[in-house]
Amino acid sequence: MFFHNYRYALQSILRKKSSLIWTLLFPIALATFMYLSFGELYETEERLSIIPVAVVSENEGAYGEFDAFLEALSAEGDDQLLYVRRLSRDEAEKALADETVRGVIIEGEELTLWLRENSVEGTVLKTVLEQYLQSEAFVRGLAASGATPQELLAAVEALTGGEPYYTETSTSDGSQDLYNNFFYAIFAMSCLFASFTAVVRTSKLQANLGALGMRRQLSPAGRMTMVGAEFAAMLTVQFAAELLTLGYMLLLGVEMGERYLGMFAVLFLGSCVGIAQGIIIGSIPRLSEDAKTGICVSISMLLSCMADLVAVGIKGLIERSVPFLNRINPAALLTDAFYALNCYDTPKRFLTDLGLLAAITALLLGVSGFVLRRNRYASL
Amino acid sequence: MVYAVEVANLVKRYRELVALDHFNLQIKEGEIFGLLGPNGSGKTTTINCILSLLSYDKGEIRVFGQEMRPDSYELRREIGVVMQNVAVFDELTVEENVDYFCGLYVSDKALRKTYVNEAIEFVGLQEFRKFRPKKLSGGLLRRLNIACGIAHKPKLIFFDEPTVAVDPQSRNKILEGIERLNQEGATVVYTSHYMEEVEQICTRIAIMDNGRNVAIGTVEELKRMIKNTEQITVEIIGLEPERRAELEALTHVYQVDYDGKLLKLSYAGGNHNLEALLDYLHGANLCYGSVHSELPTLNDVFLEITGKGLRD
Repeated sequence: MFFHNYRYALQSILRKKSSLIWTLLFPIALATFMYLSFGELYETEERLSIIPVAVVSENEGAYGEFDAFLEALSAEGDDQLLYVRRLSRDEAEKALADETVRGVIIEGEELTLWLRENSVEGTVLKTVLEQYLQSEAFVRGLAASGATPQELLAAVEALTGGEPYYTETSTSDGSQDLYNNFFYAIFAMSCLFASFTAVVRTSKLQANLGALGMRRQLSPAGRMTMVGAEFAAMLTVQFAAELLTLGYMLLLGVEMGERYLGMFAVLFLGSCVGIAQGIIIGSIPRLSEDAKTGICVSISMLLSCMADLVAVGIKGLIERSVPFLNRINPAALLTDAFYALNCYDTPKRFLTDLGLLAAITALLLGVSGFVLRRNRYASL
Repeated sequence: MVYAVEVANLVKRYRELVALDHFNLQIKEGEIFGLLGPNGSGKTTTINCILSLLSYDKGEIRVFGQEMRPDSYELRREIGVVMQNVAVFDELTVEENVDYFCGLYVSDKALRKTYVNEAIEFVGLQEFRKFRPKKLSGGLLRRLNIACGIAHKPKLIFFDEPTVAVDPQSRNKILEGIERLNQEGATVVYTSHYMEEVEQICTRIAIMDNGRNVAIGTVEELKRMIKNTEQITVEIIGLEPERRAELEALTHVYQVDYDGKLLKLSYAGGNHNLEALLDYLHGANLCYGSVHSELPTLNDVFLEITGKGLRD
């Protein structure tokens, strides 16, 4: 009986165009839109790895250490930062105008940097130059203070090509890309939007909401069997849609980290909680399907808003003033689970989020089951 | 005797409104039982109570001798319902819809396949197996609705106004189908506002009004319950007013109406009323045109029992 109901519920959902739009097309369209919006930023980051820069030498032999510093930064390899071209002043000006270089460093009376306009690359060049000048001042100060030649050599070595003073290490092997929060938001929203389909499907189980519900209720099939089969069918479609969306994002080139098992768990529980939300709204007695859909849209949008999925800042405000709300808001828990998965090396926060999502799902389904198990109505 | 349906002293209230007022009903196995009544008389409430969809305040309902409860799953297997509103999935084809609803009752796949085919053939939808409901006309949709309700071969079938908004051809096909189901052994409970349908197929009829069973019997038995046994209409022009008293004095005549063109005489009893009237017309040298006699219909019975006042 369960599989009979499951099979036809699945067919019915898959053939309903409007529910497929929310389930599959909406997240894919949103992912495409976001990728197109952020794609340029991704490319900018890639260009940052090698910045073309022109160097004009007008004071031969005066900048030996600086040239060595530039040579270290433009050495070929994974960490190459600069591509240095030695040009005359005119050629450098022309190259800057043509944007074949991002900046021009003049080795004259002093080191000068020309930039055409404010840009990320310009900021990097500025930082590089300032860092060199500070280091140079540091070495000069060291020499003036009577450091031995070996100590000076070690300091210069460290500045120009030796081991850096510090290394950046990740606390996680997940993706910490800032833009990923927007893609996590897509998952969270699409999970909540699963509730729209659930409202419609649940309404079709209730005798007081239409002839179809009446006919199903008159059959000898158990109520909970039908509700369970409907839930399983919706979960199948929703989870598959989430996986397809994830696959699509990876195809686009969005960095999602490598913790796929954790992501599958979030997407699975996210689908569960979204559907459970729809079922409990759908099971409210004495309300039409349209009214329930309206309530569902409002609640989903409110929860999304509270979780920063619509505008940034509200989630943080809630965390500071009423943190409990973030613990019971499925949308906030979903985005937090993604964040915890990718940014924390210990699983405690991630597992807490998953546990809360599972508990909310169980609570919503439990209450819905209690309401839906009623078989006789006072009026129809 | 075990009845297919037995309702005793059923009371159902919607706050102050008493929808069923100590309602009693007994439907024998093998009957096509008609349930008639004006809007708001309690027909649908009765059916919903029998099906355990509605709670009730008092009374007892038994189906095939067993108490009917929401969890009477075995009894539900024996019941089919064809509702007034079409209840199918728009996303499934004709065949899938019938298979889905049949599958809620019959788990054996091979048997179910046979039942589904038989149901589709029964309602004449073989050519539309792969059609989705939205592609079907109103009549075909009604037939699909019937197929979904009867595919599992129930022993007791409720038809709640199954012919609303159906063309005469489809209506005829549906009525023939109901008679066939009955011949194959099903007990049928039929509600409709079309009196001629009920008169055509029902073996017994109950007329409900204000939540009560006001009359019950075969069509002939019901007709005998009312005063009018015959109505004769005569086309006659210029009938003098003093003739009215003579006409009223004719045997069995209890009412005379004349509008200047048509003379209508209502009779309470008698076997040769037309002959006596024609003798009177010839004897009085009155010229007349067409004459025709009508026996009372179920509609007359219904209107006389429930009154002619408009209902909701």
